Amino acid sequence: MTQEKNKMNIKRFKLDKPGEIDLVIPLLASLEEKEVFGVISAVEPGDYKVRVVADHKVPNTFGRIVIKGVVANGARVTVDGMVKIAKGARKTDSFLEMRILLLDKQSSAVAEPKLEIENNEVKASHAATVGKIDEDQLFYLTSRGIDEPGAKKLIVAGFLKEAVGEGDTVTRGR
Amino acid sequence: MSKQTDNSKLLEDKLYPLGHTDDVEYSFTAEKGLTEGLVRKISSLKEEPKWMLEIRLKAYKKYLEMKMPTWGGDLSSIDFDDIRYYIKPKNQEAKTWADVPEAIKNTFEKIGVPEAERETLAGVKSQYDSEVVYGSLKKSLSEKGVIFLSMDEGLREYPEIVKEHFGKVIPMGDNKMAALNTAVWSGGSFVYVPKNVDVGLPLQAYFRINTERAGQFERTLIIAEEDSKMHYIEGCSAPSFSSASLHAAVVEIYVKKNAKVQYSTVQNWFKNVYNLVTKRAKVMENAEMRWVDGNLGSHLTMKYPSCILAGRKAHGEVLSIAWAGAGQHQDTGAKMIHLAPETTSQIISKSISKNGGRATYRGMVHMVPGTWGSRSKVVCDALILDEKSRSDTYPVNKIQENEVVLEHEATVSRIGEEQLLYLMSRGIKAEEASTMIVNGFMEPVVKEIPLEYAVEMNRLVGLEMEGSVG
Repeated sequence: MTQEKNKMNIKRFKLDKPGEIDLVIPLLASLEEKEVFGVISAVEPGDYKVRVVADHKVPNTFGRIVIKGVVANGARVTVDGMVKIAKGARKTDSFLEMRILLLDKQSSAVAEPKLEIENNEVKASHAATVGKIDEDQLFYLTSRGIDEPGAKKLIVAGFLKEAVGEGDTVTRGR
Repeated sequence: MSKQTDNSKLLEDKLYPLGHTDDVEYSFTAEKGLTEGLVRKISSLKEEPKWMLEIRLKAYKKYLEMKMPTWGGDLSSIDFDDIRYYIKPKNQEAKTWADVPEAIKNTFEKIGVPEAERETLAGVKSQYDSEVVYGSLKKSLSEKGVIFLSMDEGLREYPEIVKEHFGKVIPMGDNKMAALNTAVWSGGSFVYVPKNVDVGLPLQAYFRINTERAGQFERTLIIAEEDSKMHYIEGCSAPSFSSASLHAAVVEIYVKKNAKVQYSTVQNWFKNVYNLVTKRAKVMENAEMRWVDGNLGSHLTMKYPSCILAGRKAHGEVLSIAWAGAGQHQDTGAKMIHLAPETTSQIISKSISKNGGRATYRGMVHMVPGTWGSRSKVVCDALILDEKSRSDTYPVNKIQENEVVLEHEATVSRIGEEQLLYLMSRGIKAEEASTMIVNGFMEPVVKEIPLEYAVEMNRLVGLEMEGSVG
């Protein structure tokens, strides 16, 4: 019996103005693989909200969600990411990651990495981090003659790189 | 061995109607339902000072105004009018040893519960006869100036201390169940540890004479003065009968500057109980609070031990285990509120769901502006043992300060084939191997619980795992 491996379906989104993005990623057919990469560039004051749901309904699907955000100038970001695995969805492999950099004291973030799992033959995990630019990374660059603002820009670009790039779809903030 | 759930249904049917009707001597049994008159009656029976009655009445009004939470477990089957809100302890002695189901007796036998305790746990006796043990304990405690009484006695003997601290960590308006508790509380512990005292041995709720076991609305107040150290233990892993199906306890703890407090709970209520608890500690400068929370029983538990990290360098921890079997929903977690710089918190939650049980982690880490230098790490791991069961994680991390580090990770898994094979290939039977793996999964939390409880818990897991491999 031959089984065709589905091509990885990749969605990317970018939210760079206050607003909301609401994405539901359904995994309805066996062997489906879907990845979502999202960037939140919240450098204007305002509220930015992203909601992503990976909805695994059938066996043998692969999901990966990576959301990276930078927040500055009093912006407020909320990331609500959910991995749902239904009762019959055995052999699901799902990972959700959200990482947020707060660039100054006025900015804030709410990170809600959620799971609802109803099958045990699965691989499901998630991770979330919120913090500022790592001091060591900053020192590494500034000690090589790069000025601090420039160094920060480089670090932020590197941080977001994984999530930015070509892909099938790009959704912008409303 | 018959399943515990079948027997508790039998027990429930046989006993709940019987429970409160056989009064031989003077004792007050409330009518069902809650009224202002009952609140006044409770206060007058206890001969409380006027200020406590006023607090109860205010809380009763609040309770009527507030709504039940729309999140969490399913609370729709609780009939608030069908509950007796005040029962004197004697009335809880509802049955004889002969009536206790075989399954329960077997559990006691297998996990090694001492004879003397079995009757109390099974609801046959409401008072633990601990005169001998407690007597000598009391002497050594009073030499150190440590006060350990029931909450009723604490109010009577130390009203000024109680007045200063009661209802300030968990205000009556905090949530509907806290309002209810504040109105009708009875029983619970009052613990006061003076400055610089290290209590040394863990204080256990069961040692207190006149303990109202299966207290529905227990209120506990613990005050650890500066530089003191104590460990308080509540509950036990043996199955515990409760005549009340709604438990709404409140625990308030003050951990003053440089003090260290650990509060360990192992709860295994029969599966008819709704266990809705509010527990919170206020942690001052450089002090440490650790909640160790083991939830094995009840039909539904909603409990989120919290720490308010109010002083600089305060540290809070919640280590929690939740076991959700057939017909159970453990909706538990933790809350850490960082209000000062350089505060740290750690949450480790281990949950296991089996036979259609549902284990939910619900947590909150909140860092307000100005909490620079703070760190928090949350690890929630869930083990789902079969395809009927469910695990959820609902964490909220609200970070309003950038000079902090928050890390959160969660993994859901099952007993690995390779792990099982490894053990079985060394001659260990499948069931035993599964038990070892589950106990290993829980180990980071279990090792913080005093040995006797940990041993009981491990044996209990073994019992639950019997017949489960397949």
